[in-house]
Amino acid sequence: MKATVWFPLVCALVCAGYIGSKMRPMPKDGEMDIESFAKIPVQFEGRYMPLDTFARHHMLILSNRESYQTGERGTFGPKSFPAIKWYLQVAAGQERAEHLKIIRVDSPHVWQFLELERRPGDWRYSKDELIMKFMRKGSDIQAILSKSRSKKALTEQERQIEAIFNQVQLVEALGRLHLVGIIPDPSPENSGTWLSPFDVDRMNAEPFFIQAKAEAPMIMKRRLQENREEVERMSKMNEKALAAELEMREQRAMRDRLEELVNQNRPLFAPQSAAFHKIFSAYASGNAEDFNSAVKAYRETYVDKLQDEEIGRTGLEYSLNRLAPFAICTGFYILVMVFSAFSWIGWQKPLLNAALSVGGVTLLLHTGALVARVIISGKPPVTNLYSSAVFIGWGALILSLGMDIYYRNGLGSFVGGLLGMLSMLVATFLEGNGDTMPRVQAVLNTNFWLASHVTIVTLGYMATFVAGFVAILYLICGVFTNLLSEDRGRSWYGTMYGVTCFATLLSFVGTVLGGFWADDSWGRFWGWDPKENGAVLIVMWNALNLHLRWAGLVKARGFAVMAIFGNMVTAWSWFGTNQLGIGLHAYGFDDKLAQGVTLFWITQLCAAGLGLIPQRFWASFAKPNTPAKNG
Amino acid sequence: MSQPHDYVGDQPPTAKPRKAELPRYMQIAKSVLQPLASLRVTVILFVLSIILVFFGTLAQKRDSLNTVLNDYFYCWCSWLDLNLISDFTFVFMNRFRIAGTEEVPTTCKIPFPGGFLLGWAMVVNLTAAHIVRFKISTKRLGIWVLHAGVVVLLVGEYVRANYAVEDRVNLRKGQTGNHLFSLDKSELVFLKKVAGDKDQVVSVPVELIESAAKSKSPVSHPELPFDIKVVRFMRNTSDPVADASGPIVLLPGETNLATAGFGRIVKLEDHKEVSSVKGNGRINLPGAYVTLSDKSTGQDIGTYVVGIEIDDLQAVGEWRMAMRLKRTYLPYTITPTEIEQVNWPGTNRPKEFKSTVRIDNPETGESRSILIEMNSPLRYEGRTYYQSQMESDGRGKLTGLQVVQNPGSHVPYWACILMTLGMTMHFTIKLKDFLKRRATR
Repeated sequence: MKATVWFPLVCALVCAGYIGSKMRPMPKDGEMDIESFAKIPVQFEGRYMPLDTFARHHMLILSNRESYQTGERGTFGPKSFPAIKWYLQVAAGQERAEHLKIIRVDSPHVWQFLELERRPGDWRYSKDELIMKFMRKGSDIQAILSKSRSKKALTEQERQIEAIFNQVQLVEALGRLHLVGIIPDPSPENSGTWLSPFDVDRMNAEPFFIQAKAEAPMIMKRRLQENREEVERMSKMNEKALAAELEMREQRAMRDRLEELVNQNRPLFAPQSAAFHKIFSAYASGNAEDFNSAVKAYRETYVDKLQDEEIGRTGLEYSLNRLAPFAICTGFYILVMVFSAFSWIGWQKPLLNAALSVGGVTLLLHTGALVARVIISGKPPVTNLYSSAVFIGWGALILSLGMDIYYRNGLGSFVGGLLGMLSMLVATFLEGNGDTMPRVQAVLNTNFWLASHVTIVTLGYMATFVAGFVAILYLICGVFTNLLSEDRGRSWYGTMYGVTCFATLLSFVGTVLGGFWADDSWGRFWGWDPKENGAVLIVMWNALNLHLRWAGLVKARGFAVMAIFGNMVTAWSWFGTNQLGIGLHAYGFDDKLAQGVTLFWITQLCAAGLGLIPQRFWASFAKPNTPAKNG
Repeated sequence: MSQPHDYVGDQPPTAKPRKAELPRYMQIAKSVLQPLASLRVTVILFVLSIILVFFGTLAQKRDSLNTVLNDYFYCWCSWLDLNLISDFTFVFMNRFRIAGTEEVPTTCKIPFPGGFLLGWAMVVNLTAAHIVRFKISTKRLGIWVLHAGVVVLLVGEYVRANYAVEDRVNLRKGQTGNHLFSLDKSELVFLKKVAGDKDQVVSVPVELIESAAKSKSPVSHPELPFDIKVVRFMRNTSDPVADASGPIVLLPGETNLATAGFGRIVKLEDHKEVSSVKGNGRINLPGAYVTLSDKSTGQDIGTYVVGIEIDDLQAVGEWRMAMRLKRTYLPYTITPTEIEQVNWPGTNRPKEFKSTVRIDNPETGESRSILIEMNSPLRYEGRTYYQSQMESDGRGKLTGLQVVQNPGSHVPYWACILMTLGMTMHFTIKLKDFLKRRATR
């Protein structure tokens, strides 16, 4: 078999095999069937999701990643554990969970305030550690919280301290089985809402509270009778201290009794919640058989009878989480880039074919993941920034592979791989912003406009990026190598021009469709708001570049520089306009996004700077005897 | 193609043999149109538009959308504030400002072609280009149609800027409304009881009050027995931070500019304009201190405080006076019979807004109920009612309808049909060419 056939074939098979290996079920944890547990559907922020997503989501918020480490070492560096195991431990109230270093604190203000030990590279702290530190600063915290409650402006330090305090509270809430909606609300006006076990306990706790309060003095007395030493110690106290001590003890007795009563009676007032609690107590006891039967019993009684189609899709979402297709895609995109780049040096055809075949496998995986997301959310592929990022990667791959099948110069695959990888990185960053398939606002709740306007305008961004990245490559290869000296230079310019035409068409149609949507929603075709202006800037920039070429005012070099500026304009429209609302005290996600955009602009400026070098100094066009063909 | 040129394409247009010399007036017309039709003018117009749009976007960080529209897009000459760059660097370069502070931004304004000027210049440039380079060929047909669409689109936006009216109506369930109010225009109204429960109404647009404050000359109206001298005008009197709205009650012993009316109890303070991007749907609430003086005697009656923040009418002799959002009275009434907000389960995030309204028109004797939803408006008597925000307070739900009257509302649709058609034609022609060339190579 020829190398042009067997090499790409082997590459594609290896990639497919890798995907297959990722699809196998989760390894059993000491015979505990964690997978069945992770698939249990819950309701959170208005949508149904598997517990696995719920756990990952919270871990992302707290830790900025979806798995955790305990310091144990595996074959390849430190061992990682899935978020669902962390959730199990937190909810089971296990001692270890308290010590797991989950909460990421990366603010110098907070380190200073809480006098935290610096942990470079990781910056993660356990809930216990932080609680101890916060207790020392009790009055300061109270001051910040009350300031925040009365909606006074906080300083940056106060804001960051409050944010970390809220993280600690979040872990506490998760431990009390708060937030996780599993029990359908019986009241008709809230039909469709699922309550958390914590909510249900609170709704039913009143009689037990009364009983516990009545019994508390007796329990306290009994406890004291059993503990002579304490009585001895208390008899030495003055009257005021004694009264305080007694009150505290009574409170504690009341709380313990209340918990006991609620636990005892839960099977009566909320059998589902009790069944859910049972899973965690079985987990805490470490008995795999108990755990498995508790999960099985819960699923049989409460999950299997659910008929809702949307709830049925949580299984698919779990599989998607497990497979993590976009992480795999990132690796494959790099592979595509490497193959196509090496094809310019030698062994051209086999490597180019390999790039295309790996690209094809990646395309299948990426498409599958997007389709799965569409099915799970019941919405068109683009509804928020995260989904626009993964969609841009996908669109760029299709356009680029198409270019390469046509031109066969490796440029398409390289740019497709590069953009695919970058879009995956952007998406990974955006995951930290919360649920990637959230419920949309009322005005966005229309599949027709989401599918047409949003999809097309996002493809417009994509095509502009493709043109811009081809341009960067054109400049880099032209200035530093002699790759462009032959026909390649001309063909790359042609590609750049063609893609720019395509980008103009897409961004224009997308923008206009947005106008129709606005006209349909509030009677204003064009509202001049930042996002709309951003979109029209892309259209005008592309149109400007085309007209510059038509007027002969730019040639390949100038066109490339303009296309690179097109990248900057697109980044402005995609991310920049959203950041305009940033005030003096922006903290966290939005600020990081703004910094990311700035960084991107700087890289683009550097690339565009290359274009200022006259072509006769370029490695590709420097030979005195070869006149610049596309000059 | 080594030199810049003024024609489209790689080859200069070949001079066609003409049957006869062009008449003199045609030659003159051509020599005038030639420079106007230049592709370089097109490029310059694109660059200027891009700058204008960019700065017009940045300006929204500080000003209300209405102010930005008037200052940048819906005007012939705009005063472009170069120091808006500071607002850009503030966000993207670690809170760095070239000049001024977040609270007191220094401005550096330069004259710049406004949206109207650039738009019409583009129309002229395009039209001239097609006249000068008039050449019927199937090859250029796509471009023709596309550019016709661009012209229609620009004209449509001009029509909207000048003739479209956007109003609002906020109603509770069962409450009957007979007027709309504007969100960006206000009026100072004077009412006088005439026969029965009829009022004589005199309305002074707030823009007049604002310019009178600058020119220091009084506003006079033939129907009013007094002149209005504007002591102080405030574009926005609502505190952007405070949740509660309304005028500020004077402390004991505290005085302000007012000598009569409500101004002896309350005052209004000047605040920054509500930012378009940070305002969260809030609007500017103007206010003013005005001195009324008797036309016949020339004597001052008193200085009053008026503003949107002050709800009630205050008496001035037999007249009553108030500043309010500009009202438009309807020949029919609207009554919401059902207001519904559906949230995503377990959240406060709205999934849909719906209002069922009844329209009663005494002129036509019509009375019917219509359901208005997000993305599904009601069109009635030249106005379109869109479901907008819904609010809840102690007294129940309040439905907000956006009401639009735009004579050119269908123009963008025509433009887009033309442009899409043009682009598709052009790219099909190009693709065919390209494939043909490839096949022959």
